[in-house]
Amino acid sequence: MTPEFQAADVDAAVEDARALIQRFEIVAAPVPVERIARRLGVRVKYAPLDGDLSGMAYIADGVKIIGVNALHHSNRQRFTLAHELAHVMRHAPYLENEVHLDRGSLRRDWLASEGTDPLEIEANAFAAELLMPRTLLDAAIDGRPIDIEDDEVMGILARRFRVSATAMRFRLIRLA
Amino acid sequence: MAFVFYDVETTGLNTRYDQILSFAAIKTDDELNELDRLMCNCRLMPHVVPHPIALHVNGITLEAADNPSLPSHYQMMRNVQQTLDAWSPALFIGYNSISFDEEVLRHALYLTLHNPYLTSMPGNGRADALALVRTIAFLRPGALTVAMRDDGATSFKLADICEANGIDHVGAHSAINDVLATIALCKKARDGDDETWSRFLRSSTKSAVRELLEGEDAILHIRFSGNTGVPVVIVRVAQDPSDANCQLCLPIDFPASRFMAMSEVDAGALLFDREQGLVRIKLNKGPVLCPLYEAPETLLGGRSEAQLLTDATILRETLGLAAFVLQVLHSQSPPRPVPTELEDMLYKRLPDRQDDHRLRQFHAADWEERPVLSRAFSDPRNRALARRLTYLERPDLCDPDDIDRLHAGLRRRLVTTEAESPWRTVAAALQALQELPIDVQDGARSAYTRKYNPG
Repeated sequence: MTPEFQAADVDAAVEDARALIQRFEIVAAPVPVERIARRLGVRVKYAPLDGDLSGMAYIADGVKIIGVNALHHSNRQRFTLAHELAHVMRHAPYLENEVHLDRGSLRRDWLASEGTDPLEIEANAFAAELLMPRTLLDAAIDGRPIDIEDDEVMGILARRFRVSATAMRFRLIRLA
Repeated sequence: MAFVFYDVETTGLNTRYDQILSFAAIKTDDELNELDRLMCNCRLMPHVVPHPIALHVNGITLEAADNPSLPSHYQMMRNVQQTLDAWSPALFIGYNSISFDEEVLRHALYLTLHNPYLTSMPGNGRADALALVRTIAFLRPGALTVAMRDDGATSFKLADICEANGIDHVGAHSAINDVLATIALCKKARDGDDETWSRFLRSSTKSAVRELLEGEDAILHIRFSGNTGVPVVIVRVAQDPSDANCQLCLPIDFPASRFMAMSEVDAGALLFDREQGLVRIKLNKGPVLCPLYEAPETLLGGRSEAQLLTDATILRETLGLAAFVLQVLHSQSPPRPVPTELEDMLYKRLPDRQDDHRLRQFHAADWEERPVLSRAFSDPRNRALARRLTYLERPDLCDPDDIDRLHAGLRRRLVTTEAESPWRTVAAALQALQELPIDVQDGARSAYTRKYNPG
């Protein structure tokens, strides 16, 4: 029987992501999220998934497997991969008996970190820290004032971290 | 989202001047189970002369292709476009499709005033099962049985590879049978090597290939020369200024210092050398790429991943390398011919998006209204194509000035004596009758003579 997840521990999720950045000695953006997943022994599988399904996580015969929608934009695939990585790292007991499916747009996914599902809140906090580590983001901004309404600046930062401009905006708002 | 497997049977191998005679597609779910199918045929267009061998292979006689009760090419392409559009988003797969079926489909859509880039629109992806089979045969021999010809050479023909792997492929070269065989082959490939299957699907969109190339300092590329795979670790150096979908890469052992000291002519010779020179990765053609951390060590030339990454950094940071590559490319590339025929103009420039709504109006309108609507097209190619379509479908609605010119222009396709004409003339087709098996030559010759040389 799948245990019930009580409450999100966002700080712990963020710490897990930071630990990976340190362990794999990531010193520059973009963070090689697929390489990290593979080094952790996770199998990453791409497929044209149904509907708005962006990704899934499950465990089969003890192997942690992440599925990513092959038809989504690569920035969204990176987010999906980081998000599902949180599930296989932090929520393994909940994946033993079922395939965890993630749907929705990137915007909704990011907004979900303010939602009510503790699994998703943790996974989104982990993904944000892994793809846009605070240290690397601070270094990229270098103390300059940032206007999140400035599309050009958001575009430059988003391209550097290989995330969408929307994801970058949410991240900067949250860090502020 | 799902897969769409498709195949075309055509009047020949010229992707611009031959036409589709038969089209088949099957939509599947992500487990490759059939959900829906489309099968359609059309009649021969009056200005296209089929190659006798193509008809023989497809099993379509000239009389059958010329049957006036069949839908026109335009009517068939309306059906194809509407069905594929309704099945999108999807990942489109064929066998040898990137170099053939995709090009044929694009040109058929373009010539009938549809979006030629349907299969690569955002949300869709495209991949070639031939590349999948070749890659598995190269990386995981044993996961699929490679077909051998009588002379001992390997064969990746769909019929041969199916037979070698116990896949029932009755009626090869019928579009629907080739689609069914391709699905069965993909199931076998997926079950035999799901890592390569996953990587194959990942490379089906431009953004994913760009991510792979730009996200990795070096990457393993498997280049196929005929049926032989050649592994090469490459480093991206620049974007091709003449093609937004092409990234310019160099082999990791590229002699950068020697190259930089060369004259432009010598540098061009090195850059265009197939073995040592430039590797052009087309983002939209499903290239076979493998990050170093996933690559089998045996394909990395005895070097560790760390060593390769160091070598990649040295190559990439060679001062002025990318700029000199672009300079040499610009000065040494042969000039592109200026297209004069509509068939050659698809890649001249992107479609004019201002026409999107007008094209939808055109297809929805009665034929009587279309000549007027087509005059509003902003893209001159669309205006010319609309005039040709009207001539082919409803010549009674053509401007009197137009009809003689269009008739003469298309008639010229049949009778021209230009030695280098890009299309197939009647004379060329009659000459090609000799390539047919002896026992069918007389029948085919009679049919061609009745149709094209009745006098």
